[in-house]
Amino acid sequence: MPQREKQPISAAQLGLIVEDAASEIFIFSATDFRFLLVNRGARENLGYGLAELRELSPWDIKPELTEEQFRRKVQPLIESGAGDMVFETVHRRKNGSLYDVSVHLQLLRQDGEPIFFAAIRDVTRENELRRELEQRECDLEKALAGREMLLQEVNHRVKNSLQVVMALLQLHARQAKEGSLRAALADARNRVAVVASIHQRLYMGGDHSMVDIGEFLEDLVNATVESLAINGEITTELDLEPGIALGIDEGVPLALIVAELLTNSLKYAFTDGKRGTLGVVLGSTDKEISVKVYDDGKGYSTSATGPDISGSGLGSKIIKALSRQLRAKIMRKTGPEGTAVTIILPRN
Amino acid sequence: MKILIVEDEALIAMNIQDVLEENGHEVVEIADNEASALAAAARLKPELALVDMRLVGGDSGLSVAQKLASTGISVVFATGNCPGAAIEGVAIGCLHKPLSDEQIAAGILVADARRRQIPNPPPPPPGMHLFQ
Repeated sequence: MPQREKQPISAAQLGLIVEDAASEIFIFSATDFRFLLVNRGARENLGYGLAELRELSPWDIKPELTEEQFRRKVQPLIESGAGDMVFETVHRRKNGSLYDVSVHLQLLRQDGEPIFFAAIRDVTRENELRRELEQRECDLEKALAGREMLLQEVNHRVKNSLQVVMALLQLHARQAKEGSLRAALADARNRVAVVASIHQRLYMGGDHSMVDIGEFLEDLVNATVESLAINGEITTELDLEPGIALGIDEGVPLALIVAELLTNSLKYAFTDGKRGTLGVVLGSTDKEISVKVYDDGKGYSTSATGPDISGSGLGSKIIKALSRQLRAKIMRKTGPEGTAVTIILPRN
Repeated sequence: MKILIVEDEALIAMNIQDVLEENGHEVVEIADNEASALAAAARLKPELALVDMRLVGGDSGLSVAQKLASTGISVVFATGNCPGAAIEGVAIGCLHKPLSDEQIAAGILVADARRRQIPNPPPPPPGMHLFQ
């Protein structure tokens, strides 16, 4: 195929292209700042005719800028004799209405005379969208903050209600004549306390729907040892992986299981004022979370009254039922050197 | 010791009252807001007030404590949210709820010893923070 040689665009054609361009195009003198050329897009949007515009200067259609401010703004271009700049401002139409614009201003020379070439983009819609987006983000943040406040309030109230339940059980315990009934009511109170403390952690933490299990277990171990280690001195060893978070659905059962195990160790492994060590290890993989509770006291697996997890005591039943609920595996080793129970909880 | 309980949960207050009375103290009144607490304090002259942080109608236990302390009544907070920093001259300490009977009894003993500036006061029970 014969190649056709491209003809250069003539000045007249260029004028037509500028006239028809989608951008608003203004050319004005860099000496007296009068408009020399304003294309159709600009004339139609502004509502001025060409003759009217020839009598005007850029600041006449830019209400945010005075003549002095405009001159100062473009002074760097005039001083350097070339170059361009971009800025945002507002244009005022002949009818007084306003629209946001992005101005791309360039200093050129035509026949030795400095002129400004300005390509203007109407960014009203863009700015509206941006403002809408900002507003929506702001609303969303407010809604999220509201949700957090509500969750915090709910957790506080739950904890408060549980404390009332605990007070009720304490009142009942005080009325109870029989020692074993008193002890049972005290146990019930202590189990409710574990649930209450999970809610306490929920409303204290940054995320009001999750509990940091490591932080919680540290509290639980300290509180349990403080309240039960009446005879003898117990040293605690904690190796708790930070940042493992669980929701209330898993947090409460896990807390109750660990509380039972800690109580068992303190009640049954360290009798006769024996010194000893009680430890908790929390770890995780992608698939599971594991909690190991161990002591170096005497083993306590077979006693009829003991807390053996295969036994029939209430504590054992609670551990069994809750580990089933959690789909958790429980492994237990006990002997004269101590007892270790590991709970393996699948990660969802 | 004459003690004022400022607590908006009636059953929690009742439990505290039982424990205190079992331990030989006199509970002069249970108040659940600022106005009733201040009125009871003026009328019944307790030696110590056990004050919760959140009271009925959004009243603040801290404000109650400040006013009671300014009239010379010793204050111990009993709350789920103990104020973190020491509040100079306002309270002896804070008992962190939930409280067992033993914690209440021991906490009050410690507060009384501190209030009367007895040398070698007993150590605070678990869950009690001292401000002084």
